[in-house]
Amino acid sequence: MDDPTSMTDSPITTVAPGWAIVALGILGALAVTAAVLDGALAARARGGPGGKMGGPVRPFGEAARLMRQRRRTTVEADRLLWRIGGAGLLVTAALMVTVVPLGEWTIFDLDVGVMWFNAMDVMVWALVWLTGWGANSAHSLVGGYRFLAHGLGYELPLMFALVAPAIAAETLNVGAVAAAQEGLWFAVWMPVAFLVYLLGVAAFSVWGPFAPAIGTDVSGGARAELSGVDRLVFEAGRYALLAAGAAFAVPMFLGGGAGPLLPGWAWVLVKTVALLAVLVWLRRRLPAFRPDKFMEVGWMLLLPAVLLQDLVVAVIAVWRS
Amino acid sequence: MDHEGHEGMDHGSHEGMEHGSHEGMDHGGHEGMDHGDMEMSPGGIPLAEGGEDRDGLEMDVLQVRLGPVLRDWPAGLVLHCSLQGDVIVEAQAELVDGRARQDDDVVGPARGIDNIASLLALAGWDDAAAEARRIRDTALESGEGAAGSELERLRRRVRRSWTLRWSLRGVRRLSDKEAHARRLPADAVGDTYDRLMGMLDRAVAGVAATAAGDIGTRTNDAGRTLSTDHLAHLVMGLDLATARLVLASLDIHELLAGQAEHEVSHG
Repeated sequence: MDDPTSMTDSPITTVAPGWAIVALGILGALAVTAAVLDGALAARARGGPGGKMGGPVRPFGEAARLMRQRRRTTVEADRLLWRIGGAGLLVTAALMVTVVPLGEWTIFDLDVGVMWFNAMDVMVWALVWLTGWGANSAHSLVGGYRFLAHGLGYELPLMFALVAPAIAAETLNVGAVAAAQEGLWFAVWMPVAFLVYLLGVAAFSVWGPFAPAIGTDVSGGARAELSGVDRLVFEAGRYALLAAGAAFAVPMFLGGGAGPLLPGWAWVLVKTVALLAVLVWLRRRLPAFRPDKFMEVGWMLLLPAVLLQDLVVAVIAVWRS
Repeated sequence: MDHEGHEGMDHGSHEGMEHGSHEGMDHGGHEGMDHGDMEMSPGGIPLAEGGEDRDGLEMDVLQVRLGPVLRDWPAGLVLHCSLQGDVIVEAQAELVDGRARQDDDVVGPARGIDNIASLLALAGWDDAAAEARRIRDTALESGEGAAGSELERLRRRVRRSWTLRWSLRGVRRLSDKEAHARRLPADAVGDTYDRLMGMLDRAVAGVAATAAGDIGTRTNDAGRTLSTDHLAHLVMGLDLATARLVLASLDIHELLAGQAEHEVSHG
């Protein structure tokens, strides 16, 4: 890697820490958008609004219900770790977006922003497992371990998918990666890395095909015993992770704030919402990837594919310089 | 927080001593008895006993009961499982109040479609499961004929999904001989994916037959009555989630209490 001082020519302005509130607000709005979209799509599948809490308003009804619901607990629950697990997802998502530049502004202009994001998504392993562990219930624990089994399958491909843009841009600074895509988005000439990254986002959000950790077949798995506010925070955390993952893809693969007419920040939001919609829709199309089977796909297919992608990107990067 | 936690622990283990010995009595005949002295039950829940795992090493055995009230689960079925990790090493099936549902008039295609919805939900495909439930409701409300074209569409959709095929292929493959020995219907032969396709085919055929006014197909139901005796063997050696997929794939319309209900079946 280069001398770190050479990265201070980042095109990004670091804003005052107080703006973190705004970033949180945007993250929250994106998470709500995802939940509303999911509610609308679910209602369509059921054919009509169905029930009093159907359709796009479902997330609000669901939130109101959970806030009023009495918080249950289980016998000998490991409460501290349980709560850390449940609430941690939301915190992790918030920490992820701190390095995502909104147009030209960012909260942390880290030289190792890509690694920061990666470290946050690995934290989800511990959090989901703790949620499963804390409840002291068999189904919860099985769910927690199922997430780890998925993790073994998706995490390495995800890491190597993040390596591709970093090699091409010759930096780990997120803003600089975005700036390096002048004219041609990384998503276009490294599609494998982009697709694997999107799978990774679904996976660390325990979303869609990667939801067996909280699946019906293990009676709700890691979230089986969560109720009331605890459940609300856990679910919000999943949507927030999905939103943060989509937002991070924008500077990494979709050229950041680049685009005609609109200002940079608006383009970042437009691209984020578009990706988020794709991720939400994915859940409608795909059944669960059972963890025992997905392991093979992760190691035999995704990992070699994304390593090959890295090789191609590295060769092109050397040839260009 | 800390203080509370300590108190809880103390209380738990005191209580546990009493409960522990009770539990030991209940489980009379288990190998677990010789661990009796070490057995404790924090909070009234007995700790897992040790047992030999498939690889010959010792691993905790946990008693978990599935059912009788569980989403996407055959009504009234209770499965007492001994788990090592999430693998069912021993199981015993029984039926809660088997006679209550004899006069259940939800028969034929609607019941079959409901089972399809359950299997799709367990396979983690909420969207297709929701569609199947909607078709079931159509079949119940406005007559089965009305559900025909929608059901055909669902069948096409499920058949087209290669991820579903990949996920269910090879799960608990049953040979002719095995199916016969377990008194399962002939269409249970094959793996879970084959059984799902069979369910869809039967539902489509059933709906078409009802639409044509052929009531005779309803007697098919009798062939879909399974005895609890044979269920436990089917799920032994599978993990919890797979076991539920397999049970759902049997398209159970009615359950009979088996004779061997009180015997523990050993794998």
